[in-house]
Amino acid sequence: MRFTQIRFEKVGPFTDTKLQFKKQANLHLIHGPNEAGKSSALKQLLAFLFGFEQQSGDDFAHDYKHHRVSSHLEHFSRGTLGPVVRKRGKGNTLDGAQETDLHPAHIGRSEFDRLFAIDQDRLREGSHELFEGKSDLKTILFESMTGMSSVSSIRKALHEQKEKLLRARSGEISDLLTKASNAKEEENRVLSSLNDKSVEVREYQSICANLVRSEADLGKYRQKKTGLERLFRGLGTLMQLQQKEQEFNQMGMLPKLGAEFGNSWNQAREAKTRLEAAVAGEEDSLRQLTAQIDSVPDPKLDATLRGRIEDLIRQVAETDGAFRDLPDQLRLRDTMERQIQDWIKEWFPSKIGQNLLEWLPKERERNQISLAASGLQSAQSRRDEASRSVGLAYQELESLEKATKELAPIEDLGQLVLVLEDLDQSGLNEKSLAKEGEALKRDRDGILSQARRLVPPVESEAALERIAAPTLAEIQHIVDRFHANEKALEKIRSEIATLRNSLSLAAMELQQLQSGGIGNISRGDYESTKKIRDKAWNLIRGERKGIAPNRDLVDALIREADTGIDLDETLTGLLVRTDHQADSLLSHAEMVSKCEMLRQNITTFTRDIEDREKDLESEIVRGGELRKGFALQWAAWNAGSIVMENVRGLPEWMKKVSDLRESHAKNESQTADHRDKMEQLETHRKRLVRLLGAEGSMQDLRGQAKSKIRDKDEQVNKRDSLIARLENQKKSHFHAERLLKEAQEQLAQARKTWDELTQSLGNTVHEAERVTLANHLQSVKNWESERATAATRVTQMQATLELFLANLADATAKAGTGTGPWDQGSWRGMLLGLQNLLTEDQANETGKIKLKDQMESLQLKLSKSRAERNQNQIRLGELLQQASCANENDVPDLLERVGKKTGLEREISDIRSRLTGEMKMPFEEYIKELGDQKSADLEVKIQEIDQSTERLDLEVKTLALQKQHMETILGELVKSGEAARARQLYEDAKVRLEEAVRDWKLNHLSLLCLNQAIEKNRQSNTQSPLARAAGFFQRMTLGRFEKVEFDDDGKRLVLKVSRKGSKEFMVLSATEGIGLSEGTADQLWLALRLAGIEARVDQMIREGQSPMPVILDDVLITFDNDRTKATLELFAELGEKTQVLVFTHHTHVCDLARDVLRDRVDVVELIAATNPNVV
Amino acid sequence: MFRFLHAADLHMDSPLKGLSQFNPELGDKVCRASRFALDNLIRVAKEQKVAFVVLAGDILDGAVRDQGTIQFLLSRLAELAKSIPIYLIRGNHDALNNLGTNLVWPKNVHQFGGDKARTVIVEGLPVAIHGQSFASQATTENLAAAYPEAVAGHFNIGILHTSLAGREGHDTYAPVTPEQLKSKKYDYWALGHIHKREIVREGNPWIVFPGNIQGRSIRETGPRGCAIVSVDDSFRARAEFIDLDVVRFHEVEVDLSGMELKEDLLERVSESTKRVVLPGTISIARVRLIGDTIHAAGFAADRNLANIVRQHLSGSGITLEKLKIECRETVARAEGADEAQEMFRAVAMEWQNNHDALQKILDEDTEFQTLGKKLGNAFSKEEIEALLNPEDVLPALEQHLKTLSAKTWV
Repeated sequence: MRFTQIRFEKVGPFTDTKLQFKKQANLHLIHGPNEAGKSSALKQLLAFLFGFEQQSGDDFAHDYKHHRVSSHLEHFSRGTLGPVVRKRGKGNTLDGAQETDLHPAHIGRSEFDRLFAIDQDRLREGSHELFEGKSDLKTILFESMTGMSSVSSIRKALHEQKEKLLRARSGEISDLLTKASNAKEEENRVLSSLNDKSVEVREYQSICANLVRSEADLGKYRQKKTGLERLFRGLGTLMQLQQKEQEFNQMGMLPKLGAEFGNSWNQAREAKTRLEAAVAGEEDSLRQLTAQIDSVPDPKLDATLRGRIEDLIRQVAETDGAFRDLPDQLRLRDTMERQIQDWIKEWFPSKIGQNLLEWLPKERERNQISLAASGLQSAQSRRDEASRSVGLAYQELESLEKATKELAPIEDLGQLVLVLEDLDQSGLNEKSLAKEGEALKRDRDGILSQARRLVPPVESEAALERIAAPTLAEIQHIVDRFHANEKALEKIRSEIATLRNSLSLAAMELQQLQSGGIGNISRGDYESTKKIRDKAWNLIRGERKGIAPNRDLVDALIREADTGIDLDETLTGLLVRTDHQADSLLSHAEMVSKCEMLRQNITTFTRDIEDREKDLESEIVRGGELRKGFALQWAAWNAGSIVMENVRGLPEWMKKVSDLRESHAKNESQTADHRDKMEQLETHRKRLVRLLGAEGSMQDLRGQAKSKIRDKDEQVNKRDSLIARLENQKKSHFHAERLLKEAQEQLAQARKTWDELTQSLGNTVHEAERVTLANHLQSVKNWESERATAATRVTQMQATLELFLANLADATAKAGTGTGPWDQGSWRGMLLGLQNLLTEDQANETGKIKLKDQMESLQLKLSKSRAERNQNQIRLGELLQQASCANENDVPDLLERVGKKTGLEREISDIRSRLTGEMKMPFEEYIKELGDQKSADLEVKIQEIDQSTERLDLEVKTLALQKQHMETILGELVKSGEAARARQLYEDAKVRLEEAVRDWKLNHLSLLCLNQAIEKNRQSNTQSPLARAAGFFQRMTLGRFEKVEFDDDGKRLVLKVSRKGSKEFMVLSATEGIGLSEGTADQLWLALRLAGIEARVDQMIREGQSPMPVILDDVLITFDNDRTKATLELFAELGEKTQVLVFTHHTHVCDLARDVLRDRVDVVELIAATNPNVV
Repeated sequence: MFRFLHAADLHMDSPLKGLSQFNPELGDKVCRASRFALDNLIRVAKEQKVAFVVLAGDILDGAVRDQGTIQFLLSRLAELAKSIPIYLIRGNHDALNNLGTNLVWPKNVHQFGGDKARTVIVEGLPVAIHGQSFASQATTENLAAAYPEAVAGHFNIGILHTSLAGREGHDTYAPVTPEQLKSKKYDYWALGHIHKREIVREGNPWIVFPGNIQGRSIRETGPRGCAIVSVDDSFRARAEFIDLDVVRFHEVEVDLSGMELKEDLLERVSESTKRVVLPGTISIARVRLIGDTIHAAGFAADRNLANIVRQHLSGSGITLEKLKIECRETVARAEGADEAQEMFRAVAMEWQNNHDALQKILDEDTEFQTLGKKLGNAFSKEEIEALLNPEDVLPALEQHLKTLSAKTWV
């Protein structure tokens, strides 16, 4: 690539400067005096090749955006190109050509600088290095050969980097070492300060260790205790188990019986008992049946005989009436008797017949006597019974009549009841009550109207209700108390009624007493019977005392009895009667005492009633006070309402009214309820008032009752006197009769009075009283009726007795006639005997058949039972064998033992499993663990453990506290991060140090590597460029030095100096400075460089690439004219291969070039910059 | 049925390495990252309601000089163990002979001894845990071989600190193969030592490395945490990893292929690094520029480029650990240059293949010796040897020289 023209447009100091190059010239000298812009031109030329630098500082004359450098050029392969314009900017800044056209083989700016451009500074630097022995000639040669013109700079860079890393002062590695050291020191310092607490830490560790140990011990103890406790708990069960096992073992070997054996045995045993009992029972029954059959007489009568007997009986019955005609009938009877006797003899030739014959007369006689006696006896007893009944009836009646007459209490009490009823029904009270109620109603209405006037209705009702509530409660309370009192009064009334009844009863009893046992006995009877009684009693007493009764005397007494009544019976009757009377008197005495008690009760009740009355009065007073209080409350509320109304003011009031009206509807129903309640209250009040009024009447009644009671007392007294009188009356019959008469009269009077009372009481009589009275009347009627019946019975019995006695007399008379033993009774008896015989015979026959049937059935059953019993016996035998028992008696015992053993076995198993469950371990393990330890041992051990646990527990707590304390102390230690921070800094420094050392190693080894490479390069193929450089150097020095080569060890460069035939050699090494002049050193370095450039250019040409132009900037300053000419000649030779641009401000160089090279040189004058201000 | 937490390699208070530009603003998060991670572990254990916690060694980073570290660890474990029992073994870093046996663990923290493997039954659960601590760091025998037989009717867990048959970047300890572990008939092998999480075997038995709970250098990139293992009534287990780390290392490749404008670099960096931004976590990224670009050499030569990228990323909440320029020039070098490169490569290769030759050179190298002496003030002999070892830079030599010979940035 060769430039034919370069144009600097508005760049650097240039506005439009054009450099025109001749195509045929081999060397282009760009000449410009100082300040002509030579350096700028060189800079812009490089900018054209490689692009503008970002901040080049070239905008002092022209803005960056206008910077342009253009050129025309001849390309090695592409021919003429142009104009190729380089502008400033991003991206592609080249127009007219490719970047690769300008710098082929990807030669960059840096490489170009090092390889194709040599300026005076670089020349001086290089030559100085040579001159001072610093330059590595091998490097230069290496660069020359490889095109790596920057090896020196690389080496320099490596050195610099190494230096930067490892400088003694402010070297990176040194700095980092210091940092690392500091960090480590810091860490050590921190750790040291932390370790000041090492004592505490050790103590803490020790505490922790102790704590862990103690806790572990504690845990072990607790675990051990748990184990021991468990063992201990199991001991009870184990002992139980051992006991059971012992029991089990003691039972020894027992036959193994199946589970069903017991049942089978029991069943068999039960069956045996049952069967044996059945067999025995059946056998017994059989025996009994046999006996029964045996005992049942065999039937003796055949049909004929039966018919004949039946006929006879019929005949007897038919001829029974004929017996009245005794003579004939007796004959007939005798005949028949005989006939019968014959028949008997005929039919019953056996002993039975004989017996019958013997029995017949006896039986006849016996029947006769018996019939007579029983008839008499029956008549007597019926008479006595009737007599007693009549006597009792009279006694009762008279007693009643007497009492009624004596006391006349019923009338008074009836009147009392009447009065009470009248009072209860009194219209007067109703009126007063109504009046009272009216007054109350008026009061209430008044209050209500007053309330309505004062407040709105709803409020009024509510307020009234509110205010009335306590008063109502009070009233209700009073009413309740009234009710209670009323109940008490009712009770008293009831008690009074009971008393009245008791009194009535007492009166009746008195009447009965007064009338008992006297009515039907005359005075004579009484006297005589009394005497007889005394005698009889004496007799009886004597008899009872063991004294033989004087039959004579008794007979005499019988004779004395003119009533014909059995003496003994009479006596007994009298005795009973007198005893009864005595009892009655005793009862009377009791009644007197009872009456006294009742009177006391009545007094008590009266007193009680009076107390209650007082209470009632006080309650009434209190009720009045409450009512007053209520009125006062109302008035106060009223006043308060008015005040409040005034205070609250109208708006509030209006609001309230509004609210109230709103709630009006809601309260309507409540108001209705309240009204109902008020009405109820009113009703209660009414009732209260009525009760109060009634109570007034009651008081009156009580007054009356009191007077009545007083009267009654008087009557009681009177009665007592009557009783006394009665006692007297008993002493005399007359007196008794009189009393009876009086009693009858009184009774009549009482009846009359009673009837009158009944009539007058009518419906007004109290029902209970009426019923009682009715009962009494009925009783009286009954008694009368019974009395009448008894009288009738007596009459009938007397008639019957008369008839019987007549019959008896007749019969006795007849019997006394000796007409034969056969009377009607005997016949009937005989016939009855025959009938019985027939019946018996028939029954025997039927019975035998039945019994035989039964026996057969029983025998069948028995045989079955016996078979079953035998089977059972076999079964029992088998079971016995199974149980290995000799006899049955052993079996229950065996069963019990087997059962017990089985039970024990089960219990043992249960206990074992329970123990296993409780201990949560297999039984064997438990036993093993338990070993020989006993309960006491375990308890001791547990206690010991408890003690240890307690101690350890305390220890643990103490240690925990100490640990906590130490943790507080060491807390800072945990929080501290200074050591870690220092450590981190140390680590960071270390890392960076590693990197720095690595960098250093890299640079150092790179340097070593580079040197090695260069050395290798030299050893292999550096002779050729070196020879070329030697040639150049020889021509530059005009033959003064003819040879340049390295010595044998490759470390030193040997220059062969030819001083016009001299064979002397100079040795040039990197470490030893050589005696070259400054200019010669320049020429040597330039020769080496030119050899390198030529090699690179040759390489590019070989590769078909367009070689870069070589730019040399004032490199000939130190050259003399001859050496300048020789060097320019070399440049021109190089210019044949590639364009050589030499910048110079020395005119003589141009002249020397023209002189040496003539037309091969193209001197291009650089016109000074157009802007004089900026150049 | 129950769950448990399996973690390992807590390396309490071990510093985060490789933060060449430690940002003091990150403060405690970086300095005490392992502590925060442990706090997270405790929180997760409680949140997940695990029945117990298994720690498979290397709980401490070695002989602890900072008593605060011990105190912190004990206080936190004590807090956790109040409600959740902990079963742990010691690994190579905190081997019993290394840290001593006088470390008193809190109540409810069960440490397996170093003399032999033992079995512990978890109270209230059908779980048998077998384990053995490292008696010494140099535990190179197969510990698992002597682990007890599995307990029938129990979920058997083996805790073991091991490198299995060998894992890259980790020293070999208690070597054992998965097949050998399987032969133990356990249900779950809770392993430790390997810092990268890995499910070696999924079931019958599970063999799991939960990784460490906090990444400690750029070599430990990605999420770090623990495994939560759920076990059902049939003893079927399922393990899943849960992140616990607070500082996370990332390696991000930024592909610059086809990038013409060098100004697009930062945009491409943003695009590639945005995925590593995690809320609540400090992201530390190593950015590697890869791909072919015409700016490769320029980037490589620009020593200020890392600062520009660092500043740019800090706006996104990412701390740049290092900028690695591994991109290549899109254009072919001149033949001569290639020849030069070949020469460099030949030398570098020779050194790589023949360390002795290089060592011989270095042994006579006074500058190396000088540097060694300087480093002696701050590093141990071993560290200096490691630092001065040339091997790590040998592969970079060629590129380095290439970069230096390239044109400068701007």
